[in-house]
Amino acid sequence: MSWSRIRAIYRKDMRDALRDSRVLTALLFPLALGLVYSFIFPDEIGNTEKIKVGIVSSTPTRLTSIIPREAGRTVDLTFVTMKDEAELERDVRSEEVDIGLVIPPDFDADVRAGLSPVLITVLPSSPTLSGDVAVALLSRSVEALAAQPPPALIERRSLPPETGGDTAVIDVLGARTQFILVATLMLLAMIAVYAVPTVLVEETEKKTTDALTLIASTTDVIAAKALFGMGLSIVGVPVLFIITRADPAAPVPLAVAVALSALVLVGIGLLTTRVFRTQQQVNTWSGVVMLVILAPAFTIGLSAPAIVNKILWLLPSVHTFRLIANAFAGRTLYPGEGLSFGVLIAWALGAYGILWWSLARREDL
Amino acid sequence: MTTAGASTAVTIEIEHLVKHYGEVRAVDGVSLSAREGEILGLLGHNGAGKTTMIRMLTGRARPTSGTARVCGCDVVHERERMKPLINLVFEEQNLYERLSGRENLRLFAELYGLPKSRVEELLEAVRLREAATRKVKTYSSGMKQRLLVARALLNRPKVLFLDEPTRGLDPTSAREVRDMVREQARKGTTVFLTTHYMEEADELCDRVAFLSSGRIVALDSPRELKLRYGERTAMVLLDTREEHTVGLDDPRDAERLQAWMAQGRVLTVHSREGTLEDVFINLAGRPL
Repeated sequence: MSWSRIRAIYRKDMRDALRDSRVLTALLFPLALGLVYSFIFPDEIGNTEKIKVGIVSSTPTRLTSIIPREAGRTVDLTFVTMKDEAELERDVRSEEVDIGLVIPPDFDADVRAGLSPVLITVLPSSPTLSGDVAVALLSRSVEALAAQPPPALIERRSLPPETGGDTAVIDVLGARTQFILVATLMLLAMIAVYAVPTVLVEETEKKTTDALTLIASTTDVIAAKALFGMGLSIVGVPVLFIITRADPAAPVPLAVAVALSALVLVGIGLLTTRVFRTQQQVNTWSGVVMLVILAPAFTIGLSAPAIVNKILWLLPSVHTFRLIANAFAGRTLYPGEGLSFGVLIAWALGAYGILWWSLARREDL
Repeated sequence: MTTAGASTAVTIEIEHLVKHYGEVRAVDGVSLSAREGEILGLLGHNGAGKTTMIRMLTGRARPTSGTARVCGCDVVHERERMKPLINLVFEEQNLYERLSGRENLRLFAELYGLPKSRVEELLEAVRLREAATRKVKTYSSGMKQRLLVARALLNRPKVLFLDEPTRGLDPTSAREVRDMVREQARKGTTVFLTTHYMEEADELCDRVAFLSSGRIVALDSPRELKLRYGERTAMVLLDTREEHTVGLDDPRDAERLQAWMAQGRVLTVHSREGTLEDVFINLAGRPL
């Protein structure tokens, strides 16, 4: 093998592929799908309560910054300053705001001095969830403003999502991110089992490989194609994340998982060219291979029979999905990361081993 | 026919070369050699084994038995050492059609470790500099063939293989390619040529080998082959405007000609030397 020759062929492949509508389609389709998913599915995780609060206050108050802090990420608060109580009551009645607050002058200083100033909440005639949430938040916020210890400490203990279940991915990451992961898997699969075989089979059909192997070795040509697939994946996946505004919690493990998965899938794609030797065969059968690779993405959230799950577990794409889901969450949604890496490495060794063996035993040199 | 460039240094040596594809004996015990600067033509029907011969000699197919050395390198065991010393103009126009002519040549220059200036030199030589930035798919067949020749000359090969280099070309483009081939031989390159065109082989080759069913049935200079296997004939035009072809070595035809001449019926007589095609038909039993 010659690195300089591999690099020359790889650069040619990249230049040629960017002018090849088939390869561009294989790249653009998952990117477009990811973009569509990112717009269709909501950005937020779980239910976020949106509350609009009207305020009448003649002196500045820190309540407007303390209340959102106490509310956390589950409540989306918006404060609207009103001219007077009459305007406030009118807006509460017309449901322009969910709740009104009438804050007396020097409220913050009086609270800290322990003077118990009167804070008036204005609620609509029919009780609303938003109003109740806001009132509940007020007492905690006033305690924080007073900087006094509460009468009792109430510890919140939220149960973590169930690990290992597909529903955990949606619960923790949200539907939008989940579908971006599906698009990521699809992008890797399209590159590996369609774009790479298309480029290699075209070389064989048009006999340009014969010209290359007059000076380079077949191994150089195959290695360049593997590098081409890896290159497209390593550029394509970040592009997908950028255009979909995906925000992985652990970028380094994610990059490792994507690179290893791309290596495995490209190896499988190269192996398919030992069977699919014409463009027509690639067009016909790569869809079937892709369906198998994408199966884990389609079965997420479905309670498949145990045997199906066992079979799916053998697929490299299952482990790709698990690893990138964990990396996106920044914690273990699917346990057994080491095993997943092991399965992917075993697939890589198997795919490239068979490829090497089939090249070594061929009749022509 | 060119002989000026030929020297005594042997660049191709083939001994009892055999290649089987299953039951098919594509090449069946071929032995021949070629010298530096020689143009050696290999003629034969489709499936006669010409392309298989080239595949083996360029190190892309493993012989079943026998040995072949090109530029002193065994084509199987010293393939890597041989590769930079040879090149091939393929039968198919196997170019990267979405790349420009210059990009095509630069790829191969990079593979051979050659400077970019060599690419420009060859683009100039094959008159493609003006079209160098155009995608190859917009080239005419003749332009593509010139680009193929340029690609094959990049590494200044000691042995140049040409597999049907003028097939499908118009007469002007075919002549240009033949001129380039002659020029290479003049510079000392051994040219190993396969062709279907007998006139081309006659015009270009120092020696011609006829391949039939994987075997060489004749190997010599075109002149010797024509003298040995060709028929000497004459075209006779009579006063009745009838044309007759008579064999000069056939006693009965000689008698007929003598009689026409005695009767004063002969208007013109044109002698005709045997062609390579006649030789091939005599040897292989059917025309190419």
